[in-house]
Amino acid sequence: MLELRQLEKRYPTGDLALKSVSLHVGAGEVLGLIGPSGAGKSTLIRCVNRLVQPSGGQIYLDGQDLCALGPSGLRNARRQIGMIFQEYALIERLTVMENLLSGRLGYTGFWASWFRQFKDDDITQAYSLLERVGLDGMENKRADALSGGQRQRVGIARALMQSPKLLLVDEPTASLDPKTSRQIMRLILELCQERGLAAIVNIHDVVLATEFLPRIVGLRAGSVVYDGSASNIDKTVLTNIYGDEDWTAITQSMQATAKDDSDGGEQDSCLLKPAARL
Amino acid sequence: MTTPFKAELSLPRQWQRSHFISNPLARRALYAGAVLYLVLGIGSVEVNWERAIQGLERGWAFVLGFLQPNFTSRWSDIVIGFQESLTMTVTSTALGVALSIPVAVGSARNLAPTWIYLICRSFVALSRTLNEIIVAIFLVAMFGFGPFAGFLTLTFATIGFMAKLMAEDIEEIEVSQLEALRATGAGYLQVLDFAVLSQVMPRLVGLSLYRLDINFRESAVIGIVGAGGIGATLNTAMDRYEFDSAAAIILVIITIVMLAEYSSGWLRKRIQ
Repeated sequence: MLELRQLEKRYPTGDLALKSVSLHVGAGEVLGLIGPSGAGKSTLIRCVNRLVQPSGGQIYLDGQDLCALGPSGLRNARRQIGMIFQEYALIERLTVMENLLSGRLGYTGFWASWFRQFKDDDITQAYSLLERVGLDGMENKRADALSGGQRQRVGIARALMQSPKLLLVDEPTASLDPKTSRQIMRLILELCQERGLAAIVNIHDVVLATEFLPRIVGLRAGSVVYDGSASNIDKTVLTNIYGDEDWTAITQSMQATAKDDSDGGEQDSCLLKPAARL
Repeated sequence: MTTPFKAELSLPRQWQRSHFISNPLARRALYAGAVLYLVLGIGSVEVNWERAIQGLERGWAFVLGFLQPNFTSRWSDIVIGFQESLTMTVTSTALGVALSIPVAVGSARNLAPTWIYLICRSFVALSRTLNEIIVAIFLVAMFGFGPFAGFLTLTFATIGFMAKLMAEDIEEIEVSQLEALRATGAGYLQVLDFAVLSQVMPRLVGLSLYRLDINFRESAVIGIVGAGGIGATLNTAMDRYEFDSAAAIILVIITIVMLAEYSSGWLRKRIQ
C-alpha cells in the first residue's frame, strides 16, 4: 500500500538524514520505527506526507507517486494520510470540536470553514469519534484546558476525521506518563484494527514498541538496520541499532511482557511478516 | 583553631576588576578629552538672554491663559475639529488594520516566499521611516488641506506599525500547529485561519486598540501641518495668540486621550 523506494533526504545544511531507505507497508499493517535520536525517524514520516521535501527516491501510496504531485494534488493526497504528533499540535485556543473538524478542512471550502459551517455528516462523525476516544461531552472545551492524555485523544480523533488510509504517528507517548502512554498506544492500535488502517509509529520506548507493534523497523544514522518481527529483537539487534550498551534489563522486561501476552492467549500474528535482517 | 594555613598567608589579599582600556595613559587621556569636549561644547552654545526674557513673558501669558481656559468663544470650531479628528482616527485605524493583515502575513518569514517577504518588509520599513508629519506635509500637498490628507497619513502609518508588530508575532507562532493543519490537506487560507489567526488574535485586538490611541494623538499633531482635525483648530488659536482657547483645546485633548487609554486598557483586559 505504501512503498518507499531509495528515499533520500539531504538538508540544506548538508546533513544526510535518510540514506536510500526502502520500505514496504502492507494494507492494515502497523509498524514501529525505532532508533536513536537523530537517526531520521521524524524525517522519514514527514517525508511521506511531504512536510519535509525528500531530495531523492519515490514514495508510492496505492500506486500514486507522492513526490511527483503539484500543490493541489499534494493537498488531495494529504487528506488520505492522518498524522498524530508528539506534542499533540492541537490548535490551543480553539474548541475540541473545531480541532476535530479541522481534520475535514481538506474536504471543505474556505468560506464554509471560515464560518465554521461544516457538513452534517462531518459533525456526526466528530461526535461519534469523541465518544470512541472517550471524550464525550468535551466538544465545547478549549484544547488548552485538557490534560496531556485528553489532548492526545483529540489529536487521534482529528487524524481519524480525515478518513485516512494511512496514519503517521510521531512519538505519540513521549510527553505522557507510563500508564497514559499504554492507554494511548492501545487506543491507536485498536482504531487501526477497527478501520483497517496502516500506520507507521515512531517510538523511542523499545519495550512499549515491542509490546504493541508486531513489526519493527530499526533506523540508524538514516539507514534501515533492522526490519522484522518484534519478537526477534535481542541484544545483538539493539546493539546494532543503538550502539553498545548493557541491554539486559530491557530484553528481560521485553521477555516478561511477551510472556504476559502469550499467557493471555491473544496474539495477533496474521500481520507478522517473516523477519528479514537487512 | 583558626590558625591560617601557610599557603593561605601567601595568597593575594586584594582583587580589582580589569579595566575596559588596560593602558592607564590612554584611559586617562580619554577621560580628559571627554571633559574638555563637554566644556567647549557648553561654551559654544549662544544664549540670547534678552530674547529668553521676552519669551518668559509670552510663556507667562500662556500659563495665565491655561489658568482661565475659554471653552465658549471658539466652541463651534472645537466641536468641528474634534469631529474631524475622531472620524479620521476611527476610519484610518479600521482601514489601516484591515490592510496591515495581508502585509503582516507577507512580512512573516515563516509564511511568505522570499520575494513577497522582501516587498512587504520594504513597504513596512518605508512606512516606519517616514514620520507622520513628513507624510502629512506630502499628502497635504497632493490632496489639499483637510482631514482626507490626515486620514491617508494615519492609514499609511497604521499599516507599517501593525504589520511590523504582527509579523513579529506571526513569526513566533508554534510551528507544530502549522504542520498539523498542513498535514490534513487544508488550503493556505484555511491554515492561516485555524493555525495562525487563532494564535495571534489576542495581540491583534490589543495592538489595534493601542493604535487607535496613537492615531488620535497623531491626528492632533498632523493638523498643525494642514491635515485637518483638532490640530488645525489648535494651530489657528495659537496663531491668533488666543491662549485661553488653545488651553481649552489642549484640556479637551488630554481628557479624550485619557478616556481612550482607560477604555482600551479595560477592553484589552477583558479580551485576554
